[in-house]
Amino acid sequence: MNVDEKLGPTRRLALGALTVLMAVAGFAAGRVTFNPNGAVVQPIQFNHRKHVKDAGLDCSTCHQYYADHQHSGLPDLALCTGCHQQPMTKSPEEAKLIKLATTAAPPAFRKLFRLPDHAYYSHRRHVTLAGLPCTTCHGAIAETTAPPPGPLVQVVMKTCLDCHARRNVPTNCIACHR
Amino acid sequence: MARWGMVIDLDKCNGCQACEVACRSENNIAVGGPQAASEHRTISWMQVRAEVEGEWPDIRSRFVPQPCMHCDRPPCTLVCPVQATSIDREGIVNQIYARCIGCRYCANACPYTVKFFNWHKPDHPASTEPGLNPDVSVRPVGVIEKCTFCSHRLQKAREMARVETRPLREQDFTTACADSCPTGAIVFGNLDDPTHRVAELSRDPRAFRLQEGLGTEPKVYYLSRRD
Repeated sequence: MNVDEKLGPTRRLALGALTVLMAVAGFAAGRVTFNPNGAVVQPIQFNHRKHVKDAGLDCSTCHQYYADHQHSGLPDLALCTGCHQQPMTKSPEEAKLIKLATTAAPPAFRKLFRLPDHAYYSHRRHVTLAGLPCTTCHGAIAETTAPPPGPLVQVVMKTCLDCHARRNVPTNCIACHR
Repeated sequence: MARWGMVIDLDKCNGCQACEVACRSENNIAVGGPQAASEHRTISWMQVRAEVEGEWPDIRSRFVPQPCMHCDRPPCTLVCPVQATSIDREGIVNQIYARCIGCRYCANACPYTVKFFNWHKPDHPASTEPGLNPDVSVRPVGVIEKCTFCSHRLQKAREMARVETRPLREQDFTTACADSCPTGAIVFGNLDDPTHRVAELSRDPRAFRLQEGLGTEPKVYYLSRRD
């Protein structure tokens, strides 16, 4: 190879630095675009602790279907008016709730867990049949005083597989994927 | 342990293709459109193939509905480099779309040509989108797909049986094609359970299987009075 075609050390350093810079920029762009840790913003600052611990409500009061359906069900604000028809406290959030719930299309609470389309999960199977407590996947959600921006427990495929292996239940692909 | 299988009575099949339509809507099978059709790349997990025998005017035709044979010795699972396709304990040959890398070895290994590759991005007309079955995933482009014996129905039926603390009954689990067949030509059930109709029908003197000489041991039996 001709010596003249070789790059000088300064140029080589510059090229290296440019490569690293572009990689970082690409990674950052991906993070911004796909937003993996995007916070979920709820319409109302719902206080789980007040409802579950203080008022003694059962999970099924709002998550109506968890015991015998695949999905647990997320309440819309119209369900809240079952109790909050008239203000029960002086909380400004409650005032906001009543105002929002009486609009033509009351907003609903938003999902924290998003399962991929090709994975199958049934609440009935895990809660009613296997007897798992909600905290296994949902952590201390009942203790929170404000909606968390994301799931309290990160459930990934390994989480499921580890639990399945410990309990000696099927770990073959088709048990959960379709 | 169940061994799921199917019996198709060719003497009863009138070629109406209701099974094809039922399968399409049950399993969210993409509508290929004119482009895929011209390339012979449409997807149909259940295909009613017309066979014509003899010379005009002395011809006879018959219809052969053909789903995945769910072989007991499937050639497709042997060649998969990533174990995206495998036979489970109950004899259903599965395809895990999230695992498939789209190499198409399995489609080439299948002697029945019932494995389909998604050459195009699945296209579902907007009007049919609300009707997509939430129990079945919509496959992405670049993966193989095939008949699953409606195994998502088995998943639900088994869960229901456990909730009601009873064993799984014959009528709890059937495939969409068997459900829709107006002449009752398609029967589905457990081949190893003598109380199931398929067990009896598969031992019928009229029963045969496609390409038996290959030793793939298909679990789809056909009944025909003719050879």
